[in-house]
Amino acid sequence: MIRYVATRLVWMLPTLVLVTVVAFLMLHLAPGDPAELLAPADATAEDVQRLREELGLADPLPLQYVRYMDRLLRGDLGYSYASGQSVARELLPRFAFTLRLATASLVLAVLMGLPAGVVAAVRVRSWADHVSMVGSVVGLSVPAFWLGVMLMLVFSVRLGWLPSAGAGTWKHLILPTLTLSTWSIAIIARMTRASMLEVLGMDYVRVARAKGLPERTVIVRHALRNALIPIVTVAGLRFGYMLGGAVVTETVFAWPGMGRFMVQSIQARDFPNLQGGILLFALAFALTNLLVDLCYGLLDPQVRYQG
Amino acid sequence: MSASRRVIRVTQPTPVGASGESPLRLGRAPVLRRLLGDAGGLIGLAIITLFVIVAVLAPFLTAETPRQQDLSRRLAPPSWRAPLGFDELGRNEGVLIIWGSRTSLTIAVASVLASVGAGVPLGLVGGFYRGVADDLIMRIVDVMLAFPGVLLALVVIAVLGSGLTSLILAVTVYSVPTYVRLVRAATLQIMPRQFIEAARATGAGSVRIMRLHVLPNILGPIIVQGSLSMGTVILTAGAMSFLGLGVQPPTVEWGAMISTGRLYVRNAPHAVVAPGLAIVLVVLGFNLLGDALRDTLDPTSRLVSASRKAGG
Repeated sequence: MIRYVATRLVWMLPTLVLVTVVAFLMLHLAPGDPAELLAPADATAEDVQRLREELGLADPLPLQYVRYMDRLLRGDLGYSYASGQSVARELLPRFAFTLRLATASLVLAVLMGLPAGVVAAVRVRSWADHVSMVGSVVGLSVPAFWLGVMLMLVFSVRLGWLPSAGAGTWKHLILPTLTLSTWSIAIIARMTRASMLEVLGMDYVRVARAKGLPERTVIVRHALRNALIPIVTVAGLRFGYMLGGAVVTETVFAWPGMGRFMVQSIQARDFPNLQGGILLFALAFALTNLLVDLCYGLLDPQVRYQG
Repeated sequence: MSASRRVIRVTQPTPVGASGESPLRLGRAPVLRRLLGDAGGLIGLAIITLFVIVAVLAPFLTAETPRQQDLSRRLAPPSWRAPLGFDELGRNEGVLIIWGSRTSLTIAVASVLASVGAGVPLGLVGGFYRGVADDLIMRIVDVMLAFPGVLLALVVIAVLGSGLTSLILAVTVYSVPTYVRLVRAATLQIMPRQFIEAARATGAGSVRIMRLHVLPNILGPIIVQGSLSMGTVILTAGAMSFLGLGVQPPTVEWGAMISTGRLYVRNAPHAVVAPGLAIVLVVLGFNLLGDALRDTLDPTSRLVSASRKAGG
């Protein structure tokens, strides 16, 4: 087990290094010169050139990359061009906001999606099944950016119940969480239903029923437990992507998380911010995947981890 | 990441035998018949047909052009003459919606064709040859998947600048990994089958086997994914345009309409509601069709299409 985790962590390294290379190349080969964007409007060509040299952008690319990696290995993510702040200090508070939003959305998605899917599978072809399946296919079709604006229109503008933008109190969290979790609720409900239907047809479920166990026990302990693996997979993937910053949701509700920050950094060509952010995402995503794989072992004793 | 990979879908394609006959048999149309027997599939097909007709016939359906501005009717609410009202430049919302369907259809078709064109050969080669080629392809896919959500699309747009072509490319880059994984997994399941071995024994070359024996047997999942990703592409492209990184004016796009409309949402909600409903309807059409196709073509699959989400 420990060996397995260690192996997985070591295997993350090549992927992460590749991510830094790809991010570095894409950013530096892209048109758009950060020095030019950063320099004041009345700067002369010489000023811009001096700034370029100060930022280290005038050096050959391989040298720039080696310098970047050298700093990175010593735990230094560099300094934002725009604010001069250390990238780590820029990223962490924003990542904390994103983490809060993603966690709330995952919790809501599981609380809504799992029961909906179980009920749909247990009472297959009933009205409850139809309602939850029609609901989830519609949920998968609604664009988050529109849903967010609509929720804001109804609950902030018209009813005045909830704040429309910003972060701070629990009230600020409600609308962004609803917006972000809709897709996940739908996916989890569908996955749960499909997985439960498969498991409910298995012999051991029939045996459990034949033993005279209460239906509730059969469903929760025998069926659901065995149906959980694909559900955990989907939920984990979704969480990984939500950690990547809900760009749209954060933009609609002015949530001070990673997504909005990355868009702003892209527009400003703030390379250190972008490289740091992309690396943080990749790391968070890889760790989420590892956690999901470890959950398999908890759920299914047959899963063996080979180091 | 190879120790235990996350299962995006588990498929057991129906073998077609060594004849290379298409498993879809669209000619004899059992697929179509079953599709029409399914309420969801029928509704989906109807929505998409309507969408395509509207997009193709846009110039004939509208009396005005989408560039026709008139500030005297700025943000005017819906009325009998203009059932969807007017936008902040006094343009007829109904006309904009109709013309916007062209943009969405173009992006969806171009991007899905491009992702299939890039993803299917890569997945096929990886699953067929295994070994170094496979490792290399999957490592690249892992890196692409390590850019979560729409970030990869955002970076591509940062590199290429905004506009219709770079939007299509961005959305394509974002969806290729899904096809590679899907096709590779399906190919891996086909490879140990006896008819592959039989084809080899008769002296068929690798390319011939892939084309005539593997590909026809994995077409089902590809078509299902294609239909479902038409919806995802429209959502992602809309999200990009909403963020101001997608198509630029004067091209009309539903996501961009929502983006400008939301500035006036307090007084003129109609300018936001209509384009949103248009997106929901079209994406719903593709999702319903995709679901119905999956039930027909790929009944044992345990699905879940949309592992990556548009927009978050």
